[in-house]
Amino acid sequence: MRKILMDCDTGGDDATAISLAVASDDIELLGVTACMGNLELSETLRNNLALVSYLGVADQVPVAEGSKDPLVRPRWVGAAGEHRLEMPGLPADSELPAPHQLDAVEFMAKVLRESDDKVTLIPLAPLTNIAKLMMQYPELVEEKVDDIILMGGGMYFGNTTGAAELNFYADPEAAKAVFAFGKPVVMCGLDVCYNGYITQQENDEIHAIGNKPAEVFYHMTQHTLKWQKENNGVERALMYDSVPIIYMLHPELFKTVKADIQIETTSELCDGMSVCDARVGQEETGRPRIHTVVLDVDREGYIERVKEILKQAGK
Amino acid sequence: MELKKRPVIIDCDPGEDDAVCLFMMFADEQFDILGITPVCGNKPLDFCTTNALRLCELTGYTDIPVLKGAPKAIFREARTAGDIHGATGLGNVVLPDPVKTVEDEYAWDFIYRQAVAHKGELEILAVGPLTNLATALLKYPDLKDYVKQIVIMGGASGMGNMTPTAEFNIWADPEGAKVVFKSGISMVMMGLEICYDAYVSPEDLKRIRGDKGGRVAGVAADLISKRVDHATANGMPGGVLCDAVSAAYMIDPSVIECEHVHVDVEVSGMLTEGKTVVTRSFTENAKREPNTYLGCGIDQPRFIDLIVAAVEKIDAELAQ
Repeated sequence: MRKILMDCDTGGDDATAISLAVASDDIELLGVTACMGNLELSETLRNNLALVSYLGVADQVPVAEGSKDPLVRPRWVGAAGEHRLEMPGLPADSELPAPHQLDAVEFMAKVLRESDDKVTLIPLAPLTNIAKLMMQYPELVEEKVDDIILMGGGMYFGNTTGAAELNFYADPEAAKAVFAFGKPVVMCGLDVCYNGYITQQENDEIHAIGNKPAEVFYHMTQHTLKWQKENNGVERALMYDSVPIIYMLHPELFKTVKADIQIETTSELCDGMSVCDARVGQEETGRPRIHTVVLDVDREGYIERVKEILKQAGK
Repeated sequence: MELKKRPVIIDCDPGEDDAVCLFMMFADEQFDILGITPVCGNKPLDFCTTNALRLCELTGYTDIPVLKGAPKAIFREARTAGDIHGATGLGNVVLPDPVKTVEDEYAWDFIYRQAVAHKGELEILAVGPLTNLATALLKYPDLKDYVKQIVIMGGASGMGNMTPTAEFNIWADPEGAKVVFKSGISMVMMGLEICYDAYVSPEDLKRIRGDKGGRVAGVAADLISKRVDHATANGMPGGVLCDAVSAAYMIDPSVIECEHVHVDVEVSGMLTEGKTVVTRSFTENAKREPNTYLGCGIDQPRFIDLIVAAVEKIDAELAQ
């Protein structure tokens, strides 16, 4: 059983990851913290609350409110305004559970302090909350966190700029702090995410599973499939935030490389870029390659595992 | 009827792979090579200039003018590649000191003069740091209207070689490269990724050396052999010959597949200085008009064929 904390800017793909974590027999989800990112904090917090309520785990899975702004930069807003998760059956605002009385950082620290076992961090948003946790409670993180498996960055390209992926671009200093903390980080970035797509037929098969986590996964993915078809003429939805969950449970499906990873924060064009050094046959920098870049995935195996996990719900 | 030749200036820092690039360009009759503009790069300028003169004499192409180039990056002190290309810049190959001398004209003035004279038909093949071209563009802002295309070897869309993000030619003069990419001239970029794909295997090396004992074939093979040994010892299929890839594009673009992307150069990042920042159409918050054809795939056997054909042709000319 893996104990995990998820940090999310929910967001459709975050919702698929949360639904997998709730459904899995092998995961104990200790809490969800909200961060700005894809959306403003008020939206990501509300969406997280709605999701745990819909999935029937509001009593077991606290949701804590995190960072509204990046560590040192002006406010970042991926998409401004109101963005509810697009699926039927979510509770109205008046029916939402209350967020945890502690803020995200204090909540995570409490969970770590009280846990007998080590806890895995699954950051799926800008790394603001995680960087704050590391700087405020370095010993707790050192002692109680085992793996850090995040969605963000990219070894070969960006999506928000040519060099940077959205989560890192939104708060480059936070990303820098997390990779510089000293613990190995598994980076599920754009490289693997662009290979881990799901097709319409596969999503229909997921819909047929028929339980609540599968409903969440289906509707979130369906929204992306529809958008992709209308805007890019392709019937593929990229998986993004579900990748770290599947990697945690089934690392054998993935191709990875060890790398030194640093985050650029001082540039004109590359701020938020995950600078990965996995070069072969070139001059070494002398810096240890403690991090892992996830590059590729056995896509069919991935979809099979997603279905298998979703079917575990409610058994 | 004789076909009109393509007017070309070759800007380079010879350099082992520059030498093979020059052989390929010299041998192809579709080009009218107006001049060679050496630049500080693999070696200090004096070395590169002397090597350009030597290579003209080796091949018998002594009527190609060699101009005076830039001794250092436009805003920075000189950066070179140390002894990666051996003590002279031509590896273990020893060529006599040249009789031919450098012209009394600066590269940037020559480039502008020829560009105007050829009324927009001039193509520039640039396989070193882009200092000469940047100087020309800064001195003559209307130069951009007279250049048909600039084909470079430089940059990388992924990891670099000098640093985790920067390739040597761009790292050596980031501001110079930025000026060139921002000029508005149609750019073709052969970056590290495609150069790694265009390897020379031990078998390919045998083909390049040939069995006729040709002088230029022998020099080309000697220039490449150390790279092949080093690469195969590191588990790679063959040595890289970056600058020759750009020559291959000039000779026959169908050998190389390109994608149309936006490229700009980072000049200030602590970790990314000298990185060619490639922005593709799917980038969400930073739509950029494409300005560069980026080489993304190469027909490696045909690439080797071009090298073999070039050195055979020059050796046949020398035998006459």
